[in-house]
Amino acid sequence: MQALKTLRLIAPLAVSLAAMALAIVPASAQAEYPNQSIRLIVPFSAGGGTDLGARLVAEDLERTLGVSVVVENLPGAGSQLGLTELANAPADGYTIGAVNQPAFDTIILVPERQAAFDIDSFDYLINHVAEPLIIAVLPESPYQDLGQLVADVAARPGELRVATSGLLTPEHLAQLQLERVADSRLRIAHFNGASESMTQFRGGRTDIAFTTSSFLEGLRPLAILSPERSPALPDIPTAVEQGYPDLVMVSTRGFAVPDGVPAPVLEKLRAAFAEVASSPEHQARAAASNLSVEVIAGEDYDAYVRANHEAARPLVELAQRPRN
Amino acid sequence: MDSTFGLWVQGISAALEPSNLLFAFVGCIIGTLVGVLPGLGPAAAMAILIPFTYDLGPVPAIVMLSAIYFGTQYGGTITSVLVNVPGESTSVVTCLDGHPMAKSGRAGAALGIAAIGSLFAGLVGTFLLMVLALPLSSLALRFGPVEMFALLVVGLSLVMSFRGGSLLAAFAMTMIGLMLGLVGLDPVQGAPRFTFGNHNLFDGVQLVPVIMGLFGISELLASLEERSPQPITRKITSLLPFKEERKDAALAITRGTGVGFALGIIPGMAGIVPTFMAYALEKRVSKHPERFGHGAIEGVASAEASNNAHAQASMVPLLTLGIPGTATLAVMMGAFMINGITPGPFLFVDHPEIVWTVIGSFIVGNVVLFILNFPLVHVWVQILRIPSRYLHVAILIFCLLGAFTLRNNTFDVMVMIAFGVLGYIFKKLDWPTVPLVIAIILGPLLERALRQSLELSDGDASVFVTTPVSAGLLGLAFLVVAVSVLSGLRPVKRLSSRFSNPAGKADQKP
Repeated sequence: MQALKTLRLIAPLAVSLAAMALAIVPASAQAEYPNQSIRLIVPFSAGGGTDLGARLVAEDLERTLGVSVVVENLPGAGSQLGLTELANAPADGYTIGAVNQPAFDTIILVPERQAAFDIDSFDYLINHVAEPLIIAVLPESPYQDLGQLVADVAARPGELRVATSGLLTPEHLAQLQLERVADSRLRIAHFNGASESMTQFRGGRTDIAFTTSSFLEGLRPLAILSPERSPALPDIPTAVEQGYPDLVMVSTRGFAVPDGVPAPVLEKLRAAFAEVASSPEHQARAAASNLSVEVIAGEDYDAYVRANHEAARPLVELAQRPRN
Repeated sequence: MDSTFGLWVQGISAALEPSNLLFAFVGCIIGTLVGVLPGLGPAAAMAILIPFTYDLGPVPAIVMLSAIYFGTQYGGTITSVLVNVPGESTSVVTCLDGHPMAKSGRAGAALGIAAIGSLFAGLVGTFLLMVLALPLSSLALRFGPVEMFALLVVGLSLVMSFRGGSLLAAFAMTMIGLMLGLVGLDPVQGAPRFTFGNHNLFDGVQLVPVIMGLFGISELLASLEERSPQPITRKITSLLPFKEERKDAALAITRGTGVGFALGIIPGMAGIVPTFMAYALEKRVSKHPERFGHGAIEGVASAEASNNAHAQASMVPLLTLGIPGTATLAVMMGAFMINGITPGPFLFVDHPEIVWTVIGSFIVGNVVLFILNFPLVHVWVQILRIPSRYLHVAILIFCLLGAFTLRNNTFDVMVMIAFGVLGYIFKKLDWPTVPLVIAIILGPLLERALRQSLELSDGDASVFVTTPVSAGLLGLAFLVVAVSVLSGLRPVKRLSSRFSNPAGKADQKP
């Protein structure tokens, strides 16, 4: 009985002491970062390419940082909902987000989207995956190289048909580049996702495929739209080396934190991500999931994101203009 | 043919190895649970489970994932029948007759026929997949936006079959659905439409919360009116249909399988389209169309058979062309590729043994699902014994969680509640909600197909009549509308003639 009374007296005291102890923790958190679980916002649905890559990273990051990294899918509005959440999250290093370009750029650059963030709302950690677009045709097509294709586009404005995997997707932007290079017009139709647009091509309803390495089987690739040849596909010549320096379109997936994360935390995160993404074992596992890892770390990635953003600007403006 | 048969036997026996059977069981259980939970769809569930299949090797991984896929199809049926909440969008149509059956004490028969229909459709669908996959694949490729547009017009014309009361109400609900389908970013210009500056509406009104609201939440609201809610049933009835229904149910399953498979091979076909088309067809051919919506077993049978046949048929474009038609199949394709199998034109040539093992695993998956679920129907039906004051709270929590998990977004929960209230009002007015749901689904597809057709034809609208398939389908749609309007007018005429029959009344007067 007496013991119970003592307990009743002590219990509230213990609870308030514990509460005080908890209140003190954040003050020393910076030195101890990380000491609680980290949210990794994926602004796309579970099961997509971005999600797959982010989950691989999260798994390895847990080992490197020693805390759990929880992937949270916040899909919607072509990643705008998840990125808004990321931009509004506390800049303490406990919320990280996946950022895809050019999706990220088009959200910011299209005024009607009323984005609540811009390119300065984030600090950029690392580029993880890069997927260059490839221009391809059917084996029976007359085009043997990119030059012949561009010439035909120029000769027959408004005749050749192409499909995108959605408005302002990399495919669409690359088609706008091709129009600009050939000073001509394509019939651009917007579909929902890469498999729908490839269905149109395989069904003979479009003439040129703008696609990625996963859909290349049975096609004749004419050019890869990366600045340099891809190590995974060394036989496909770049558009740049065929004389078209303005045909470059790579969709990239990286990671960012809200702007204003304390410098030591940012450095620690950048180092941890670089360690994870550079490990051969991680890259092998990513390759098995058809993701080609291309590490661009720290300040370099920041510059890369900004350069991509500026490259997307004129294309988005072009897309906004009425056709014909 | 002999060697094909040999490969087929090999495939089945590979899928029948004890360890693979175990994975099939696990997959079916997970799939059924995922199907039961509204909001959590097969795509998300498979995405989360793929890492666990890394070390399994290709065959067990594919056995398990396909079992999950088929399991979700059946799981959605359970909640549709028992509590009127479609666990998956493909189960919306099952609610129409499944839940009335449960209310009249025949939940067992509804779930039983669903299991039988799914098994039949699964096996026939797999057989058709085996025999027809290669010839059909090139045919499916020819189905472009022009044909899709015409097919969707046929679909919209069939919506009128779902009218409960008046033709006008069904028409109005279709229009409301089409208007709701306009919400979101314009697919060609990217301009926001009717979003009121809310980014949550950029992708349009989310379908799953709308369905859960219109069906589940409105049902809960309606049940509040009853002072002492009537328990649906305490007695477990037979799992089999009444003798006199058996022939109709069997025919419905056959027709449902046919419709589901035929439309399922078209890449990008949403599962609900064949399902409601099969239902509409069943109602048209029935001698007693008035029973539909009040517990007609053919309604459940055809819907369930067609959504399962669709699931099988959607493998045709995936396996033969490497084109995943739905988000779920895209995840499945990812799983194939992780395991070193690239679906596409060369799969059948380069790795026939893998194809036949995959097909074998489909057969095993369907049979295991049936073995697991048919006896379990008794267990599921017990849910109805839970007093409604507990059951209804549980359903509400389920729905709230489901709407949230869809995008981890509270806005979607609000949408569900709003549509719950709307659904309740529609119920009171006796306005049918199914045309609204179907129009929300078909509207955006129709708009996309129309604009894609015109983009590819450079604005030439004559493609819709110069393309033979499209012209035929549009003609069919015209006929359907004409018949609907005529048959819709007839009872009105009869009614008015009864009212304006002064001669008859005068006769009775002394």
